[in-house]
Amino acid sequence: MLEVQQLAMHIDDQGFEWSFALPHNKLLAVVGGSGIGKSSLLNTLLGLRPAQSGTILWCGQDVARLPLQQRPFGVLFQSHNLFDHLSVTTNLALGLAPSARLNARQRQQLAVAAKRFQLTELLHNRAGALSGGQQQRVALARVFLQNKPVLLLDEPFSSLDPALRADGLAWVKELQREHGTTVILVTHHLTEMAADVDSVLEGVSSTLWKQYPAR
Amino acid sequence: MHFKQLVGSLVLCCSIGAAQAQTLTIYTYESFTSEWGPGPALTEKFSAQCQCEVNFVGLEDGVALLNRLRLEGDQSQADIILGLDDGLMAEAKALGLMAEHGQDLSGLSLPYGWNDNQFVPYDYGHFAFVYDATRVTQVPTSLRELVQDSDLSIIYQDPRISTPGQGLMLWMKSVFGEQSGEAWQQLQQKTVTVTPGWTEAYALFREGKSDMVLSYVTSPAYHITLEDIDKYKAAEFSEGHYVQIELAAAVATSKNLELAQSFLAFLISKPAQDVFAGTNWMWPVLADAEKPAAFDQMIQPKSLFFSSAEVAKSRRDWIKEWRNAASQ
Amino acid sequence: MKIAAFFATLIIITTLVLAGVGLYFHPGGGYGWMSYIDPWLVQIVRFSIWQAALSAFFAVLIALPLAWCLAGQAFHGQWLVKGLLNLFFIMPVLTIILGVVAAFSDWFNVFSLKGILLAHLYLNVPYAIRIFWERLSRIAERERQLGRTLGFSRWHQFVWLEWPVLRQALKPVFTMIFLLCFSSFTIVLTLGGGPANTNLEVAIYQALKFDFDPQAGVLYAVIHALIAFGLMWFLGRRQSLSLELDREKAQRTVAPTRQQGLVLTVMLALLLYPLLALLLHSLGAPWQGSQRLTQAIATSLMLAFGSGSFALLLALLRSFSRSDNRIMRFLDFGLLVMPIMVITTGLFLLALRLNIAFKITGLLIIWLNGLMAMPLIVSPLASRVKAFRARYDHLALSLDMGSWAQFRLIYWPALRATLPWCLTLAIVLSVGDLGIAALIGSAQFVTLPILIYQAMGSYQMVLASQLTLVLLLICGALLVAAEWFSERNRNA
Repeated sequence: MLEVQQLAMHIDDQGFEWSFALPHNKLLAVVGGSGIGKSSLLNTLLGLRPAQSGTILWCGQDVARLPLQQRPFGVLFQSHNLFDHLSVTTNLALGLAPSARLNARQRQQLAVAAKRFQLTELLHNRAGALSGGQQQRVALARVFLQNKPVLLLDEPFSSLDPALRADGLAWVKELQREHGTTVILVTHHLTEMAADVDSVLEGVSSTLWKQYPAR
Repeated sequence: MHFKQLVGSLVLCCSIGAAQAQTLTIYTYESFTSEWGPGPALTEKFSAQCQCEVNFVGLEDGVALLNRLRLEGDQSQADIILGLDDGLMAEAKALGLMAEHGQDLSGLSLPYGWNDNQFVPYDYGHFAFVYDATRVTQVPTSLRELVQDSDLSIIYQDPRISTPGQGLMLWMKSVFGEQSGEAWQQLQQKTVTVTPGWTEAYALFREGKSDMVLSYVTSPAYHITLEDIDKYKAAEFSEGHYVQIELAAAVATSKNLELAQSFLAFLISKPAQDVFAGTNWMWPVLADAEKPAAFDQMIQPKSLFFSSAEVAKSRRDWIKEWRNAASQ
Repeated sequence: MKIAAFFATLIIITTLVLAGVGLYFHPGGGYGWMSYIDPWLVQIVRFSIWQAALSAFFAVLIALPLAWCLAGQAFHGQWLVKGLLNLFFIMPVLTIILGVVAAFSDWFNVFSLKGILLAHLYLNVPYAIRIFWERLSRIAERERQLGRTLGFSRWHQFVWLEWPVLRQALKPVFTMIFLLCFSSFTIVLTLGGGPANTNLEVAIYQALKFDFDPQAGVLYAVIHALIAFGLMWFLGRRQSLSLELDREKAQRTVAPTRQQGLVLTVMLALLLYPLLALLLHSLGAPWQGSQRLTQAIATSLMLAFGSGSFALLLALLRSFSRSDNRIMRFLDFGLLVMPIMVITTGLFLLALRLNIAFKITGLLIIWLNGLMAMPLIVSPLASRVKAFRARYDHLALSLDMGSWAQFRLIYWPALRATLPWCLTLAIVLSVGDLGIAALIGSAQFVTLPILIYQAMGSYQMVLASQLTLVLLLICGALLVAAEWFSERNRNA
């Protein structure tokens, strides 16, 4: 269970505050006008931005004061999820270890994931040379390998066409099923994925957010 | 109308004025024109005599004068070239730019039988290695000893630009002949640095950067006379010392040729000759010219020299020989 | 537009051709070519390459860690530091030389290879630091965030993000510095200290000035060009380095970390020490103005203004070039590294032939200095033109705008703000020139750098320091004026 209680954050003159609860293995869609604080929420949860006050309870433990690496969150940004100048293999390996040095078991995990996301032929290519759809698969594969309990997605498929978007979402659902991942997804295309969403968090203003069940 | 008349008379005045105040342009080397050199005194004396202006233009050192002449050719703005030496004379004459001086040089006292119809000598000097007697005790008595056996460090000037440097090159050649190449290599071991001109070399020597410096036999006279120091001495070498006669000549294409030639006559007259010993620290060519008392204490070595034609023929090869050794 | 660009190229090529003609008809010695192949030649080629390689190697070695530390995070007042680093690259070389002499001659013999290396380091390390710093700053914050979400430690940040960027910049920076040091003239001339420490560029100058042997000059020039162009081919595989000295973009800054503070202190101390020493040294004797000095300053400024304007004109014309091929880049950068001595002599000899030599000395100096300064100011102009062209070219064509209208309404407003800066840069680069003026200036002709060189030659070091300070002040005043103009234009 992920419980966020009055998590407050400040940038420049803007203040944000969020409160919501998300049960294990559910998918929360975050919606609202631009500039309202959707991306800021993800950044604060992640730890990229410091929170002024509030708590983030994950399975009863407050992770708000923990450093980034120790939090249970994995992330897929809107863009630049890969290091363009590194190879696909290295990009994937970094999901398992920041030194990209893998033991035998990890190497096998990588191979399996590559096969699963149809990346085996692309392993030695430079990440920057791949098409948008291919890059998306690599990013998803890495997230899969990283296997963090909670996955934060910041409109990761918005620059792709609807077909690829649907694919991406399908992969996310599979992750949910297989690893029991809890997912928070910022999106502008709520209607496209209405069937898969469990709960919605809507930003009315940057300090007022309403949560309601999807169906 | 009024205006035109004004302008007209102004122009007239200026041209008359210009005609009266002639300027004699003399190309020479840098140290000649400095405050302590002969330049200022000569300027004063001659301009009083000729009612004209004397403009000394200082260019690097001796050999650079020759090259400037080559470059400018008959478009040169110089009336007189002053500061070439007997070694460079043939090459300068070959350019065909000098005018005849029309002077009688027979009464002059020169270190060897030298004569020419275009160039006028104004002073001469023997090259020597100068040292500080309070610091150096093992003074070599011959060039051979300096090159081969001595441990002393030296500074000398670049033979390509400076006449003392060239003098050393000719000195080495006259002593070592065919073995000059090896001699240079041995000398290179002792060389602290090679400077573009005399001034820098001497300054570095006085700062203590080397034991000896290439200069003139008469350099110590400067220190005795003006600084009251007698610790600087010139080493006397048994083979003899290379000698240099400094020369001046008028440029044939000069617009003030008569004035230039009268300057040359002035150069070998007593008023001018009195100046040289005390400012240029070289021997004047007029035997009875004034000299500082210290000159009597200077050594009077044997003179070594090459004829100008010989130097002209081989200078390039000799420089290459030096260059190859000095660059290792 | 195309014609404009072509015109600039035409001027460059004409210069080369005329120089060639002048050299062909040279009144030289007529010696056989083989007589030039001797140990001396071997030595100078070896020395040229060796001192350049050492200089570039140490420059990069020193600049890398410094740049890495400074790029760590944006700190307060970093624009000041960047400005100082830029200054060292455009400052007249004589200032650095005299600074080094004043600061270090008591500790070791600066008139040697060590002195040359040191001067080269002062000239090039700031530039290298700037380039590395720039490249590191371009690493997107996004990438760093991504790294952090993957659990990167500082070490991992370096390995995966920073090192690839640095490594990519290493080759071009090394090559650039090598080329600049290889063609270095004034430093090797004044600090060489003897025939052993002569490089090809100085050898050309000496061949022309001492031996009056243009043939030797040409031979050395050809060898120089072969090596230099060979290296540029090596570099030219990717975009050549932009020497753009851009304005600082607004960034969030914080106080420097302790590490940065230490690095800054050491670096600033090292950089400012020679300048301070120069200042102190010049106070060693009372100031002696002279008429010659005033004349020299006036001449220098006039010539520099002329060259600057000419360079700006050429750069403007060149920046409209559409072709981005290697030949064009060669031509631009080639001017930076070509032995300017030979071109100068060729033109001068031609002028002598035509009996106009002394009447056009000033013009020649302006022409040649202008050509030399052009490559350094082309980049900022060209990149702006390119950007605006990309944005508006189709629009302009669709509205059927003529070339002149396009220039007047699109490009001129875009370039106008940069022009004072570029002009000043070109002027500052030209005012400190020694080589060209020394080679062809007639005996009556004095510029400030020549006076400085003469003072050094007659070992009047204090006078030389004073004159250099004057030169530095003039450049400083020009740069401040340019800043002021730019500010005015920005707010206008």
